[in-house]
This record gives sequence, structure tokens and C-alpha cells, in this order.
Amino acid sequence: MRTRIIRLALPLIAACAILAPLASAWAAEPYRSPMRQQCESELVKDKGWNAELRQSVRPEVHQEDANITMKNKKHVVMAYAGLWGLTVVFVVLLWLRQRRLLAEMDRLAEQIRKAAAE
Amino acid sequence: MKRVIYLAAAAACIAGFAGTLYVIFYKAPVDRLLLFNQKIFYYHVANAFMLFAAVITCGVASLLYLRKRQGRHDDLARSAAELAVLFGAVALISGAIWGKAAWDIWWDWDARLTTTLLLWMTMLGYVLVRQYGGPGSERMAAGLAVFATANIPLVYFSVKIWRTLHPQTSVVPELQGWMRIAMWSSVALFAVLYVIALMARIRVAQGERRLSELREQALDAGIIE
Repeated sequence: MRTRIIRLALPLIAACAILAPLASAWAAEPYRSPMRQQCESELVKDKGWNAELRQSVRPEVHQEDANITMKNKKHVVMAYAGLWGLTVVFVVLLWLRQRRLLAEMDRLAEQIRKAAAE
Repeated sequence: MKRVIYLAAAAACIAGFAGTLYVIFYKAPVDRLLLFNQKIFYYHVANAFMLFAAVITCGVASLLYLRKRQGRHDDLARSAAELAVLFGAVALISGAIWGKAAWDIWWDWDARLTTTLLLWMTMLGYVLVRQYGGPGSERMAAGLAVFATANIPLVYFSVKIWRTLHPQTSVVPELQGWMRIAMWSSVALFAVLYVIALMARIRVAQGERRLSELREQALDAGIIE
């Protein structure tokens, strides 16, 4: 009985040992999308999409993005522009206010002078 | 003579702006952690210092006004309050932009940010009360200014009292080399700008006072109704 089991088991183990790498090789084969053909034909037709895809996979693009993140001039420019803008607006408003005030004072003083003379 | 002083000070300010920008962008090294965004810091902190200076000036002048009731103290307080609103707005806006760059959020209800906003709103309240409050509003506004001045230690020490996202007060004293020069030259520049703007604003306040006197004379003379 034991010999019989061994006789059956041994070929099975041998078969598994041979088939296992084959099965794993078959399983590891990269997936090929059934849409690939369609995409390729679409990319041939759509030149803009093609160019965008090529642009996005260029390694330099990633380097450029990294540089932008590193330097990030946008926020610095925004902060300095806001600061200068507010300061200039304040100074101009102050100047206009002073001019208006002086003109009003001159007008009133003139009226008072005239009234006093009369 | 005064005109010459103003022009000279304005020219010094323009030269100072160019000089500080050169030091900030070409001499001061890029920070290791915050990188290029750290350049916002120099003018942001200088404006925050000027906010404190303007609020303190307004508070002290208001106290003097409440005690002595002299128009010149009121002129000083009113002028400093408007500048506090200006410097506060700049500090808050540049701080929000810094927050977006450094923390990826425009605003957080962090203790330093919130207390600064409250201080700025108090000063804005002062300006609005003076603008629309009518006769007697100067005394009410003076009380508000004293309250705002008492709020300054809370704003300054908020980063020590509570856990905050905002950098600690130790950052400025620890700066070295060109970063230190950039920081203190920016503070000096904004201090000069503050003094010039304050003097100019006081002249406007004096003019407004003179105008109201002239109006009273004109009313008495029956020139205007």
C-alpha cells in the first residue's frame, strides 16, 4: 500500500517540479491591454495627444518640476507684489488726500478773506 | 526745508528698497528647509515689527490724549492707527502667502495668526470709529487703541504659550551672516518708511484740524451753511 502511494506521488511531484516554473513564467508574462491597438491608432490620428504624452515622459520635465518646487518663485513674487502694491496705494491715497485738503483750505481761507474785506 | 527732508527721505527709501532686495535675493543664502520661499520672511517680519511699533505709538498717544486732551496727541494716534492697518495688512497677506508655500494652506487658526488678525481688526475698528463715529469718537477710539496695545504681548508670546505652526521668536536672533544683514536692513528700511509715512499722515491730520477750524470761522461769518 505504501509503495503504491509513493509510486503515485513521485510522478506527481516530478510533474509539479517541471510545470511550476513554466506556469510562473506564463503567469508573469506582462499584461497586454486589448485597447493597445486602438490607442496606438488613436495616437497616430491625434498629434496633440501624442506630443503631450511624449512631453510628459521626458525625464527633463520631472527635473524642471523639481526645480520649480525647489525655487517656487510664484509665492515670493506674489508676496512682494502684494507688499509693494499696498504700500504704493497707501502713499498715493495719502498724497491725493493732502492735495484735496490743501485745495479746500485755500478755497475756504480765500472766501473768509473776501468776506472780511467786504 | 521740510519738502527737501521729505524728498531726501523718499530717495533714501527707494535706494533702501533696491539695496535690501539686492541683499535678500543675491547675497543672503537660500534656506535649507524652506528654500526660496524663505525670502518672503525678511519683509514679512519687518512689516510685523512695524505693526507693533504703530500700535504702540497709537496706544501711547491715545493714553496721552485721554489724560491731557491735546489735539496733537490725537493726530499722532490717528495717523499711527492707519499705518498699523497698512503694515498689519501687509504682514497678514505676506504671511498667508508664506503659509501656502511652506504649509500648503493659506490660513490656519493658529494662535499667532489668530491673535495678529484680532490685533489688526482692532486697529481697523479704531480707523472706522474715527471715520464714521462722529463727535466724541476720538475718546472711544483711544480706549480701543489702549486695548490693542495691551494685546501686543499676547501676540508676541503666543508662539511660546501655545503650540503653533508659526516659527518661534528665536528665529530672528539666530540668523547669521548675510541673512542677518538682510533681516535687519529690511527692518531699518521699514522703520524709515514708517517714520516718513507717519510724519506725512500727521500733516494731513493737522490739515484736517485746520480745515474744521476754517469751516467754523466760515460758518460764523455766514459764508457757508
